[in-house]
Amino acid sequence: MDQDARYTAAARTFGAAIERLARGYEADAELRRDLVQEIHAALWRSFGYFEGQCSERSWVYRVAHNVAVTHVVTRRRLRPQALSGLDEIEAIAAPGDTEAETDERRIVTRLLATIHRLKPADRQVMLLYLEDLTAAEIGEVTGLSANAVAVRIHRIKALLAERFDLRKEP
Amino acid sequence: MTDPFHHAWQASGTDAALPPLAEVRAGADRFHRLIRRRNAIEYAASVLVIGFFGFGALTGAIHDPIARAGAWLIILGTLAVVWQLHRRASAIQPPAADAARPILIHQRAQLVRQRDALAQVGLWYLAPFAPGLALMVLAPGIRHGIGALGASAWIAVAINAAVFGGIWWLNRRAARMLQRAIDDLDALEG
Repeated sequence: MDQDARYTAAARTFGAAIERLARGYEADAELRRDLVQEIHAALWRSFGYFEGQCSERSWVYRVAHNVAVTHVVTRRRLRPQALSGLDEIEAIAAPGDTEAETDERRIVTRLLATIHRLKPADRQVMLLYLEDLTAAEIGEVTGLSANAVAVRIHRIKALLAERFDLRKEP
Repeated sequence: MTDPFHHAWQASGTDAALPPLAEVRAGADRFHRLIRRRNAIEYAASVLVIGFFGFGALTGAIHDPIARAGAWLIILGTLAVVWQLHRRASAIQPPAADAARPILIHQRAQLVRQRDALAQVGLWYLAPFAPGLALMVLAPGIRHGIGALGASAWIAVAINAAVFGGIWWLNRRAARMLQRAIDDLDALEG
Protein backbone atom coordinates (compact mmCIF):
# COMPACT_ATOMS: atom_id res chain seq x y z
CA MET A 1 0.00 0.00 0.00
CA ASP A 2 1.37 3.44 -0.85
CA GLN A 3 1.66 6.43 1.49
CA ASP A 4 -1.63 8.04 0.38
CA ALA A 5 -3.62 4.83 0.80
CA ARG A 6 -2.10 4.04 4.22
CA TYR A 7 -2.76 7.57 5.43
CA THR A 8 -6.34 7.58 4.13
CA ALA A 9 -7.12 4.25 5.80
CA ALA A 10 -5.66 5.44 9.13
CA ALA A 11 -7.41 8.80 8.89
CA ARG A 12 -10.76 7.03 8.37
CA THR A 13 -10.15 4.78 11.37
CA PHE A 14 -8.76 7.40 13.73
CA GLY A 15 -10.29 10.63 12.36
CA ALA A 16 -12.78 10.98 15.20
CA ALA A 17 -10.14 10.14 17.83
CA ILE A 18 -7.88 12.83 16.35
CA GLU A 19 -10.73 15.36 16.65
CA ARG A 20 -11.25 14.41 20.29
CA LEU A 21 -7.52 14.55 20.99
CA ALA A 22 -7.35 18.05 19.46
CA ARG A 23 -10.22 19.17 21.70
CA GLY A 24 -8.23 17.91 24.68
CA TYR A 25 -5.29 20.11 23.74
CA GLU A 26 -6.87 23.25 22.28
CA ALA A 27 -10.05 24.94 23.52
CA ASP A 28 -10.12 27.64 20.83
CA ALA A 29 -12.13 26.38 17.83
CA GLU A 30 -10.12 28.28 15.21
CA LEU A 31 -6.76 27.10 16.56
CA ARG A 32 -8.17 23.59 16.96
CA ARG A 33 -8.93 23.41 13.23
CA ASP A 34 -5.30 24.36 12.52
CA LEU A 35 -4.10 21.73 14.99
CA VAL A 36 -6.21 19.00 13.35
CA GLN A 37 -4.81 19.96 9.94
CA GLU A 38 -1.26 19.86 11.32
CA ILE A 39 -1.87 16.42 12.79
CA HIS A 40 -3.21 15.10 9.48
CA ALA A 41 -0.23 16.58 7.63
CA ALA A 42 2.21 14.96 10.08
CA LEU A 43 0.32 11.68 9.84
CA TRP A 44 0.50 11.68 6.04
CA ARG A 45 4.24 12.45 6.22
CA SER A 46 4.78 9.71 8.82
CA PHE A 47 3.30 7.01 6.58
CA GLY A 48 6.20 7.63 4.22
CA TYR A 49 8.44 5.79 6.70
CA PHE A 50 6.07 3.57 8.74
CA GLU A 51 7.36 0.02 8.56
CA GLY A 52 5.59 -1.58 11.49
CA GLN A 53 7.93 -0.14 14.16
CA CYS A 54 4.97 -0.45 16.55
CA SER A 55 1.25 -1.09 16.12
CA GLU A 56 -0.49 1.28 13.71
CA ARG A 57 -2.71 2.47 16.55
CA SER A 58 0.30 3.41 18.73
CA TRP A 59 1.96 5.04 15.73
CA VAL A 60 -1.03 7.25 14.98
CA TYR A 61 -1.44 8.31 18.62
CA ARG A 62 2.29 9.04 18.97
CA VAL A 63 2.36 11.24 15.88
CA ALA A 64 -0.87 13.01 16.81
CA HIS A 65 0.12 13.67 20.44
CA ASN A 66 3.62 14.83 19.41
CA VAL A 67 2.11 17.44 17.08
CA ALA A 68 -0.32 18.50 19.82
CA VAL A 69 2.46 18.73 22.43
CA THR A 70 4.48 20.98 20.11
CA HIS A 71 1.34 23.09 19.67
CA VAL A 72 0.88 23.40 23.45
CA VAL A 73 4.56 24.18 24.14
CA THR A 74 4.49 26.94 21.51
CA ARG A 75 1.18 28.35 22.78
CA ARG A 76 2.34 28.32 26.40
CA ARG A 77 5.39 30.40 25.47
CA LEU A 78 3.01 32.95 23.95
CA ARG A 79 0.34 32.75 26.66
CA PRO A 80 1.55 31.14 29.89
CA GLN A 81 -1.12 29.58 32.11
CA ALA A 82 -0.96 27.50 35.23
CA LEU A 83 -1.42 23.76 34.75
CA SER A 84 -1.89 21.11 37.42
CA GLY A 85 -0.94 17.50 37.95
CA LEU A 86 -3.51 14.77 38.57
CA ASP A 87 -2.60 14.84 42.26
CA GLU A 88 -3.27 18.61 42.46
CA ILE A 89 -6.39 19.04 40.38
CA GLU A 90 -8.82 18.00 43.11
CA ALA A 91 -8.06 21.33 44.77
CA ILE A 92 -9.21 23.17 41.64
CA ALA A 93 -12.58 21.48 41.38
CA ALA A 94 -14.17 21.47 44.77
CA PRO A 95 -16.40 18.41 45.26
CA GLY A 96 -19.20 20.74 46.31
CA ASP A 97 -19.67 22.11 42.80
CA THR A 98 -20.33 18.72 41.21
CA GLU A 99 -23.76 17.41 40.41
CA ALA A 100 -24.89 14.05 39.13
CA GLU A 101 -24.51 14.28 35.35
CA THR A 102 -26.46 12.10 32.99
CA ASP A 103 -26.31 14.16 29.83
CA GLU A 104 -23.35 13.00 27.71
CA ARG A 105 -22.65 16.41 26.28
CA ARG A 106 -22.33 17.90 29.72
CA ILE A 107 -20.08 15.07 30.85
CA VAL A 108 -17.79 15.74 27.90
CA THR A 109 -17.77 19.48 28.66
CA ARG A 110 -16.73 18.78 32.22
CA LEU A 111 -14.14 16.22 31.13
CA LEU A 112 -12.63 18.80 28.78
CA ALA A 113 -12.58 21.45 31.50
CA THR A 114 -10.55 19.03 33.64
CA ILE A 115 -8.27 17.88 30.80
CA HIS A 116 -7.39 21.46 29.80
CA ARG A 117 -6.06 22.11 33.31
CA LEU A 118 -3.75 19.10 33.34
CA LYS A 119 -0.01 19.12 32.73
CA PRO A 120 0.90 17.60 29.34
CA ALA A 121 1.97 14.14 30.56
CA ASP A 122 -1.14 13.69 32.73
CA ARG A 123 -3.29 15.05 29.90
CA GLN A 124 -1.83 12.50 27.48
CA VAL A 125 -2.52 9.58 29.83
CA MET A 126 -6.09 10.76 30.46
CA LEU A 127 -6.84 11.24 26.76
CA LEU A 128 -5.43 7.83 25.88
CA TYR A 129 -7.28 6.24 28.81
CA LEU A 130 -10.55 7.73 27.56
CA GLU A 131 -9.80 6.26 24.10
CA ASP A 132 -9.67 2.79 25.71
CA LEU A 133 -5.96 2.17 25.28
CA THR A 134 -4.59 -0.39 27.72
CA ALA A 135 -1.92 0.57 30.27
CA ALA A 136 0.70 -1.21 28.15
CA GLU A 137 -0.38 0.71 25.03
CA ILE A 138 -0.34 4.00 26.94
CA GLY A 139 3.21 3.20 28.04
CA GLU A 140 4.18 2.41 24.43
CA VAL A 141 2.72 5.68 23.17
CA THR A 142 3.95 8.00 25.92
CA GLY A 143 7.24 6.42 26.95
CA LEU A 144 6.14 6.32 30.60
CA SER A 145 7.01 3.20 32.60
CA ALA A 146 4.25 0.69 33.39
CA ASN A 147 4.38 1.79 37.03
CA ALA A 148 4.06 5.49 36.16
CA VAL A 149 1.08 4.73 33.87
CA ALA A 150 -0.59 2.59 36.55
CA VAL A 151 -0.23 5.37 39.15
CA ARG A 152 -1.79 7.89 36.77
CA ILE A 153 -4.68 5.66 35.77
CA HIS A 154 -5.40 5.04 39.45
CA ARG A 155 -5.47 8.81 40.04
CA ILE A 156 -7.67 9.38 36.98
CA LYS A 157 -10.21 6.84 38.20
CA ALA A 158 -10.23 8.41 41.66
CA LEU A 159 -10.51 11.91 40.17
CA LEU A 160 -13.43 10.95 37.91
CA ALA A 161 -15.22 9.15 40.71
CA GLU A 162 -14.83 12.08 43.08
CA ARG A 163 -15.27 14.96 40.67
CA PHE A 164 -18.37 13.52 39.07
CA ASP A 165 -19.55 12.13 42.36
CA LEU A 166 -20.24 8.63 41.05
CA ARG A 167 -21.00 7.40 44.53
CA LYS A 168 -24.35 9.17 44.37
CA GLU A 169 -25.29 7.53 41.09
CA PRO A 170 -27.25 4.26 41.21
CA MET B 1 -15.27 -0.05 28.96
CA THR B 2 -18.84 0.82 29.79
CA ASP B 3 -18.54 3.63 32.34
CA PRO B 4 -20.30 6.90 31.42
CA PHE B 5 -17.03 8.80 30.84
CA HIS B 6 -15.64 6.50 28.17
CA HIS B 7 -19.02 6.23 26.53
CA ALA B 8 -19.69 9.97 26.51
CA TRP B 9 -16.14 10.78 25.40
CA GLN B 10 -16.09 8.32 22.51
CA ALA B 11 -19.59 9.25 21.38
CA SER B 12 -18.40 12.83 20.88
CA GLY B 13 -16.49 14.02 17.83
CA THR B 14 -17.55 11.18 15.57
CA ASP B 15 -18.93 13.39 12.79
CA ALA B 16 -15.56 14.84 11.79
CA ALA B 17 -15.05 15.23 8.04
CA LEU B 18 -11.60 14.20 6.83
CA PRO B 19 -9.57 16.93 5.09
CA PRO B 20 -8.97 16.43 1.33
CA LEU B 21 -5.70 14.64 0.54
CA ALA B 22 -4.34 17.56 -1.50
CA GLU B 23 -4.85 19.86 1.49
CA VAL B 24 -3.06 17.41 3.78
CA ARG B 25 -0.08 17.20 1.41
CA ALA B 26 0.12 21.01 1.15
CA GLY B 27 0.02 21.33 4.94
CA ALA B 28 2.95 18.93 5.27
CA ASP B 29 5.20 21.54 3.63
CA ARG B 30 3.93 24.52 5.64
CA PHE B 31 6.57 24.29 8.38
CA HIS B 32 9.42 24.47 5.88
CA ARG B 33 7.81 27.42 4.11
CA LEU B 34 7.60 29.34 7.42
CA ILE B 35 11.27 28.65 8.23
CA ARG B 36 12.34 29.64 4.73
CA ARG B 37 10.41 32.93 5.00
CA ARG B 38 11.85 33.75 8.43
CA ASN B 39 15.38 33.05 7.21
CA ALA B 40 14.82 35.15 4.09
CA ILE B 41 13.96 38.13 6.33
CA GLU B 42 17.09 37.54 8.45
CA TYR B 43 19.27 37.27 5.33
CA ALA B 44 17.78 40.47 3.86
CA ALA B 45 18.50 42.32 7.13
CA SER B 46 22.08 41.01 7.03
CA VAL B 47 22.55 42.29 3.46
CA LEU B 48 21.38 45.74 4.61
CA VAL B 49 23.81 45.75 7.58
CA ILE B 50 26.72 44.58 5.42
CA GLY B 51 25.84 47.12 2.71
CA PHE B 52 25.59 49.98 5.22
CA PHE B 53 28.88 49.32 7.01
CA GLY B 54 30.66 48.18 3.84
CA PHE B 55 29.73 51.47 2.15
CA GLY B 56 31.07 53.42 5.14
CA ALA B 57 34.31 51.46 5.30
CA LEU B 58 35.06 51.41 1.55
CA THR B 59 34.10 54.96 0.58
CA GLY B 60 35.79 56.74 3.47
CA ALA B 61 32.46 57.89 4.90
CA ILE B 62 33.86 56.56 8.19
CA HIS B 63 37.03 58.67 8.55
CA ASP B 64 38.57 57.20 11.70
CA PRO B 65 40.67 54.10 10.86
CA ILE B 66 39.80 52.51 14.21
CA ALA B 67 36.08 53.04 13.58
CA ARG B 68 36.61 51.68 10.06
CA ALA B 69 38.19 48.56 11.53
CA GLY B 70 35.09 48.35 13.74
CA ALA B 71 32.87 48.48 10.65
CA TRP B 72 34.78 45.57 9.10
CA LEU B 73 34.44 43.61 12.33
CA ILE B 74 30.67 44.23 12.32
CA ILE B 75 30.55 42.88 8.75
CA LEU B 76 32.50 39.79 9.85
CA GLY B 77 30.19 39.42 12.87
CA THR B 78 27.14 39.62 10.61
CA LEU B 79 28.57 36.92 8.35
CA ALA B 80 29.19 34.75 11.45
CA VAL B 81 25.56 35.20 12.57
CA VAL B 82 24.28 34.40 9.05
CA TRP B 83 26.36 31.23 9.06
CA GLN B 84 24.96 30.27 12.48
CA LEU B 85 21.39 30.91 11.28
CA HIS B 86 21.99 28.74 8.22
CA ARG B 87 23.50 25.96 10.35
CA ARG B 88 20.77 26.09 13.00
CA ALA B 89 17.93 26.30 10.44
CA SER B 90 19.12 23.11 8.77
CA ALA B 91 18.99 21.38 12.18
CA ILE B 92 15.68 22.92 13.25
CA GLN B 93 13.56 20.10 11.82
CA PRO B 94 14.41 16.85 13.57
CA PRO B 95 14.72 13.70 11.45
CA ALA B 96 11.31 12.70 10.11
CA ALA B 97 11.23 9.44 12.05
CA ASP B 98 11.47 11.40 15.34
CA ALA B 99 7.83 12.45 14.88
CA ALA B 100 6.76 8.99 16.02
CA ARG B 101 8.97 8.75 19.11
CA PRO B 102 7.24 8.18 22.45
CA ILE B 103 5.63 11.48 23.44
CA LEU B 104 7.74 12.23 26.51
CA ILE B 105 11.02 11.65 24.67
CA HIS B 106 9.83 13.89 21.82
CA GLN B 107 8.66 16.60 24.22
CA ARG B 108 11.89 16.55 26.26
CA ALA B 109 14.04 16.71 23.14
CA GLN B 110 12.06 19.73 21.92
CA LEU B 111 12.40 21.54 25.24
CA VAL B 112 16.16 20.81 25.40
CA ARG B 113 16.64 22.11 21.84
CA GLN B 114 14.74 25.33 22.61
CA ARG B 115 16.56 25.79 25.96
CA ASP B 116 19.99 25.38 24.38
CA ALA B 117 19.20 27.80 21.55
CA LEU B 118 18.02 30.45 24.04
CA ALA B 119 20.85 29.88 26.52
CA GLN B 120 23.44 30.31 23.75
CA VAL B 121 21.98 33.50 22.22
CA GLY B 122 24.71 35.60 23.87
CA LEU B 123 27.38 33.46 22.25
CA TRP B 124 26.16 33.18 18.66
CA TYR B 125 23.84 36.19 18.17
CA LEU B 126 25.28 38.97 20.38
CA ALA B 127 29.01 38.29 20.85
CA PRO B 128 29.90 38.48 17.10
CA PHE B 129 28.70 42.12 16.99
CA ALA B 130 30.35 43.25 20.26
CA PRO B 131 33.98 43.85 19.12
CA GLY B 132 32.97 45.85 16.04
CA LEU B 133 30.42 47.96 17.89
CA ALA B 134 32.90 48.60 20.74
CA LEU B 135 35.59 49.78 18.30
CA MET B 136 33.20 52.07 16.46
CA VAL B 137 31.76 53.70 19.56
CA LEU B 138 35.02 53.93 21.52
CA ALA B 139 37.32 54.90 18.62
CA PRO B 140 37.96 58.50 19.88
CA GLY B 141 38.73 57.16 23.36
CA ILE B 142 41.18 54.58 22.01
CA ARG B 143 43.00 57.24 19.94
CA HIS B 144 43.02 60.17 22.39
CA GLY B 145 42.30 58.66 25.80
CA ILE B 146 39.10 57.97 27.67
CA GLY B 147 38.57 61.68 28.39
CA ALA B 148 38.10 62.31 24.67
CA LEU B 149 34.79 60.44 24.69
CA GLY B 150 31.92 62.88 24.53
CA ALA B 151 28.50 62.55 26.11
CA SER B 152 27.04 61.12 22.87
CA ALA B 153 29.62 58.28 22.93
CA TRP B 154 28.73 57.39 26.52
CA ILE B 155 25.03 57.47 25.67
CA ALA B 156 25.73 55.12 22.73
CA VAL B 157 27.67 52.79 25.07
CA ALA B 158 24.81 52.81 27.56
CA ILE B 159 22.16 52.11 24.88
CA ASN B 160 24.20 49.27 23.35
CA ALA B 161 24.90 47.75 26.77
CA ALA B 162 21.21 47.99 27.73
CA VAL B 163 20.01 46.40 24.46
CA PHE B 164 22.58 43.59 24.56
CA GLY B 165 22.10 43.01 28.28
CA GLY B 166 18.31 43.05 27.93
CA ILE B 167 18.29 40.50 25.08
CA TRP B 168 20.73 38.27 26.96
CA TRP B 169 18.75 38.47 30.24
CA LEU B 170 15.37 37.77 28.61
CA ASN B 171 16.73 34.75 26.78
CA ARG B 172 18.43 33.37 29.90
CA ARG B 173 15.18 33.77 31.82
CA ALA B 174 13.25 31.91 29.11
CA ALA B 175 15.91 29.17 29.15
CA ARG B 176 15.50 28.80 32.93
CA MET B 177 11.72 28.42 32.51
CA LEU B 178 12.27 25.68 29.93
CA GLN B 179 14.73 23.97 32.29
CA ARG B 180 12.00 23.88 34.95
CA ALA B 181 9.66 22.22 32.42
CA ILE B 182 12.41 19.66 31.64
CA ASP B 183 12.85 19.00 35.36
CA ASP B 184 9.08 18.44 35.64
CA LEU B 185 9.25 15.84 32.87
CA ASP B 186 12.24 14.12 34.47
CA ALA B 187 10.32 13.91 37.73
CA LEU B 188 7.40 12.08 36.09
CA GLU B 189 8.97 8.67 36.60
CA GLY B 190 9.39 9.38 40.31
